[in-house]
Amino acid sequence: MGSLYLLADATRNETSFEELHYWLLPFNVLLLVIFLILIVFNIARLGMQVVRRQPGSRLTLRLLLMFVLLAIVPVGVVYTFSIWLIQEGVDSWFDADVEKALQDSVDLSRSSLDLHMRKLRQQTEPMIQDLADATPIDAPLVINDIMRRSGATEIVLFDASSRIIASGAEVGSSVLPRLPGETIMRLVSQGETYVGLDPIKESGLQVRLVFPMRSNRAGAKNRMVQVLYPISERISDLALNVQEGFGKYNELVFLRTPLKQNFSLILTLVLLLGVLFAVWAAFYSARKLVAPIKDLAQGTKAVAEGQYHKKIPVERQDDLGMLVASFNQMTERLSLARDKAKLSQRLIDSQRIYLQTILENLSSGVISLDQNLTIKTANATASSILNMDINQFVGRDIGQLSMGSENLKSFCDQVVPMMQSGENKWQTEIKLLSEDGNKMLMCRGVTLPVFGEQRGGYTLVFDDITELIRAQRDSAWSEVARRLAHEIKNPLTPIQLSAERLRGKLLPELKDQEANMLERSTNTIVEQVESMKAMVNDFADYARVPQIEKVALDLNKLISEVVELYQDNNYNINVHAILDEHPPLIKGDSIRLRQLMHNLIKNALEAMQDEHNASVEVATKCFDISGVSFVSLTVKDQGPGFPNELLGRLFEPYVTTKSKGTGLGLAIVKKIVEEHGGTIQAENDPVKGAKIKIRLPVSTMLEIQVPENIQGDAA
Amino acid sequence: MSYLSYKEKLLNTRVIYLICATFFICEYVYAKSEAFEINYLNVVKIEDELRLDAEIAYALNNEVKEALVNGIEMIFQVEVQIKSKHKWFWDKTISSVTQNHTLKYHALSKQYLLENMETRTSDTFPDLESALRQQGKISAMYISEIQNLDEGSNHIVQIRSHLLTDKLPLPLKMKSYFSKNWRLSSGWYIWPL
Repeated sequence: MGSLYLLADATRNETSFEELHYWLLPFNVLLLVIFLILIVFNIARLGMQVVRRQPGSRLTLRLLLMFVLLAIVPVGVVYTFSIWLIQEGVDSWFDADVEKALQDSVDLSRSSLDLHMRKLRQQTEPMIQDLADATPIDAPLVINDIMRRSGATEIVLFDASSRIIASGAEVGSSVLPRLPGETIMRLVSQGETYVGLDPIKESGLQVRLVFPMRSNRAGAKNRMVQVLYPISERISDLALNVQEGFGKYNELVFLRTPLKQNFSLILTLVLLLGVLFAVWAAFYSARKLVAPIKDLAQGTKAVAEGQYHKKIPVERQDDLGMLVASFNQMTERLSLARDKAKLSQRLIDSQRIYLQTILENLSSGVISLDQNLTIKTANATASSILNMDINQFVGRDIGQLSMGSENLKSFCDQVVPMMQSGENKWQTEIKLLSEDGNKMLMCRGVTLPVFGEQRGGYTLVFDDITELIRAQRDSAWSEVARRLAHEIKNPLTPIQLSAERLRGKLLPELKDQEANMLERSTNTIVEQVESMKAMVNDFADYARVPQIEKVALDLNKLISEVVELYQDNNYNINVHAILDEHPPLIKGDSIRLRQLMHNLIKNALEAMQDEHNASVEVATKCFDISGVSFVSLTVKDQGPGFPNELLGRLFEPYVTTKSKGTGLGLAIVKKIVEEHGGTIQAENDPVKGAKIKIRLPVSTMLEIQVPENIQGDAA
Repeated sequence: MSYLSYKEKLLNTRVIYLICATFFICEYVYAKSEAFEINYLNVVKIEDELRLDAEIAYALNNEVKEALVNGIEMIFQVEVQIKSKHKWFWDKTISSVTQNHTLKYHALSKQYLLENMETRTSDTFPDLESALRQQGKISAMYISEIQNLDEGSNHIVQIRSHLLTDKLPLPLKMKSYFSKNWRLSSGWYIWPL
């Protein structure tokens, strides 16, 4: 702006900053070019940012256009108006009348001076005739005479080759007379007289008269005379004033167009510099304004991507600064909320894992369902009880369980109506058919409460109470057996004794026929009483309160001894043992365990009495389950196997497949196993035959005591 | 940013082209019109001084003539330099003299006034041609002392005549930035000495 001021000032005052002015225009043009380059660079950069869709670029562009528009419109209006003002204003300085008056004054001055010059010419012409033939010696005298008479200031006589013949001048004038120039000489040599005004530097005007001189002498060269007359000081001053005024006005008129161009140029420079500066300032302001918005956009993007720790530096104290501060506050709170949510999630997860662990380790099966009876979760026990992987049915209707196994149809048929009944709590016993025999389930259902938008569902909890029922039944049977033994055994001996006494007393007295009848009848009574005694003894055995003495014993050895007894059996069936090579000792009663082995092998042999080339296999194997050691004892035959309907009740008294027998064999076996803390299971081989599996626990304490016990046993 | 994309490189190249184009346009605008010619030049030794006789033909265009007639005073400068030639370095300027003439039109007397600024003498001419002819005659112009010359060196004398645009009225001075018509010069004429 300073340089522009100087430029404009220099136009007004020519003398000041003359040297400076020379550089002002190029300096301003240089500024213009610098601004232009800056702007082009900025435009290109912004263009690329817009193309790349960088955040904030479009806003910058919009702000820029707005700023530029705001700057250009008023500046453009002022520029247009100023240019018009200059064009019209400068022209209005000049008036045609003034110009005409000045021109007239010049013409008037010229006419007046012409008149004066004509008079001088008429006055001088007769006087100088003597000089035409004057000798160089006479000529100065003649010239002095003319000067004295005419009032001329200088007279010079010279020939055509500008050689001065004689001259005369007033005292104080230049020593060397100045001859006329070529043009005047040419004019005069053609016989014309030159009459003209000569401006003299610093001393006004003078009249110059140059006359051709024709010599009357033969052979003489033509001469010329220049006579200079002064113009009176007053006229001279007036004429010079007119000349000066006219000259200045003429100059102004001539400079009018360049002056307008000059002003226009300066204005254009001002406009361009102003506009370019405005554009550059617009770029700068827009960038400054958009910078926090750009930061905010990037911050928002970061938050959207989950980086809640993002902080934007607050560099301003205005509204945008407040916005940035609020954003920082928001991200901080978001971060806190996220941390809390994470913590809650972790708590929920740990609770879930805790609940899941409890559920997985529950002895009850648990299935959760939603409102539409779709299975949501099920624990491992549920799968175990129902003999099916319930997790395969998660997300499916509970009714589809029956598609997985026909045995579950009754389960579904009973459970689904109960849940649909609308009762909040219900309980029922369900009989479940399975390959391992019938199972009794105690099933309880609970309708879950509704939480907000989450619709309530159902929870199904069921226990396998087969064993419980079986135990109750066993207990009942034991009581029955004990009472039977007690109530029946007592009268049996008197009956037997009475029958024998009857035979002894009456037999000798009776005839043959009657004696035979008595003999047969008493024998029948005695046999039946014996038979009943045996039966009652079996019951007594079953019902007997265990009085076992557990000692450490080698199961393999015991089995080998029992198997050995059956090597030569009546059924011609091979009985062999496959024993674990390194069996641990178990704590047990050897007599009871032998009874167990006898019962099992006998059962197997009896089952295979109609089979040919059949064999009985007794096997032991050791294994660990959850860190607890077990010995598995398996007795496998190749007979017809157990009927499926009996599988669940095999170990109950009076359940038998044989025509003979009390049906107490397997019940006693089970009792012995339970006395030893083991479990027993009966199943059919998929190919042929039946299998009884017994698991007996091994105490680690026993393993330490092994050497002594073995020694004792051996002794 | 050290990394420049292809587009940015292209843009930079375009900016360089733009600057070059601006330079050439300026060069064209600022080229001087060689309106004056040095027709004759002679350096003579008078006593211990070198003096120059020369004849310069001034041809003015109509725009300048019109300005003159409208009372604009113009100063023409004759610059004479003697230089000692160097093969590898800049030439050394031994002497540099100037002679200025002021030419203006006197409307009342319809005469052209020519003033030698050095001698302060003036002449009047009824027409422009005779005034310019007179202005072009340079006679015994002092240019240097003989002793200033370097012995054993090659010397040149160079002369140019030009219109001093600095001394023009400001509106015309501004115009002379852009118009060739106002940058009148003979250019340097060089003679071996």
